[in-house]
Amino acid sequence: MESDEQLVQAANEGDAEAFESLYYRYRDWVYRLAFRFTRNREQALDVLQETFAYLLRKLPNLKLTASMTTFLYPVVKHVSITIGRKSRREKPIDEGLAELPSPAPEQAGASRAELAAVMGNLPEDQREIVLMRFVEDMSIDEIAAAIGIPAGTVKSRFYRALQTLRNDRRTRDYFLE
Amino acid sequence: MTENHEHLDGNFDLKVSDKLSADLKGLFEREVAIPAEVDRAILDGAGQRLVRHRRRRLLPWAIPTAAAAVIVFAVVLNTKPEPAKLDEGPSPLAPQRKAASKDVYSYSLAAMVSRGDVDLNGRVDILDAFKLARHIESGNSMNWKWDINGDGVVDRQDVDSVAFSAVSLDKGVL
Repeated sequence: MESDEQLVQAANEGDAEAFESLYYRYRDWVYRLAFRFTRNREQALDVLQETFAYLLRKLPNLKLTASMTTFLYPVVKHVSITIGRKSRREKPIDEGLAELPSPAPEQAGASRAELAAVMGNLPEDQREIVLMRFVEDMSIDEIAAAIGIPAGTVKSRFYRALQTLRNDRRTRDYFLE
Repeated sequence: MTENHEHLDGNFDLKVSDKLSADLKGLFEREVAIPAEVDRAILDGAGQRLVRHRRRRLLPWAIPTAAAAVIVFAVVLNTKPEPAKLDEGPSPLAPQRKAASKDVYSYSLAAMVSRGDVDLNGRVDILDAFKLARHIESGNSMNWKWDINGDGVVDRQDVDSVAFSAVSLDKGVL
């Protein structure tokens, strides 16, 4: 299987199949992330299109200096915020509710519902890092590069978020000690 | 994913179970159902744009390459010996000309001119014989092209051959 760097290089040279491979490799990831930001299927699809349009505009001079997810994360976030704002101007929604999913108890179970509630109480900057780390499996350095902040800041926010989760009786069981 | 995340958080004393990651993924990762039309719209647009990229990439190369090809072609045409010059005057080789094709004949004559043409003026004449004689007498380094009779050495016999060629042909021109 070709690496992302090889596919980017081929796409830079005008190889449509290489671009298609990149698309199918990251399509679902982009959509899920967009859906998490927008909480709206149609908007997530718009973000998907805009994100790959952005990637396409970067060709033929795209150079991957980090992982593709690190490169795409800020794009997805920015486009999601822009599309979300535009949508809210047209059709106001409750921003607080839009931030988090509403787990169906019969599917998710009580612990997930409690986890969602605790996560909902975290400051947005901490919650984002927890999700990047545990859902996207990004490293501290990748998170720092994607958000554009120092790794030390990521660590401190992450640590504070974990402390909050550990100190809450509803999520204490997720910690080994 | 490891059993806990402490390896990432070396300075932290918080050890998190994998269940947190699994539950968060369960909460935030939804089934992906992207309509085929969306895929097609994105990839068709990309394909068209990439074709344009490719053309734009090739265009800057195409013009200089074509120009270089034209220049090389022109140079090759100009450096090819002109049959008209070589055909000037009567020659003892005239009967062979009829038998041989024009091009092959021209090249063999050109080789002969080159061999005896010591002063490189495009002609083999008595001056070439004098010049070759001086070279031999001076003991300077010899050019293999001056081995006119092909015996492996450049000596007086080659001077004689050049002189013979010069006087046996009309005005020394082959």
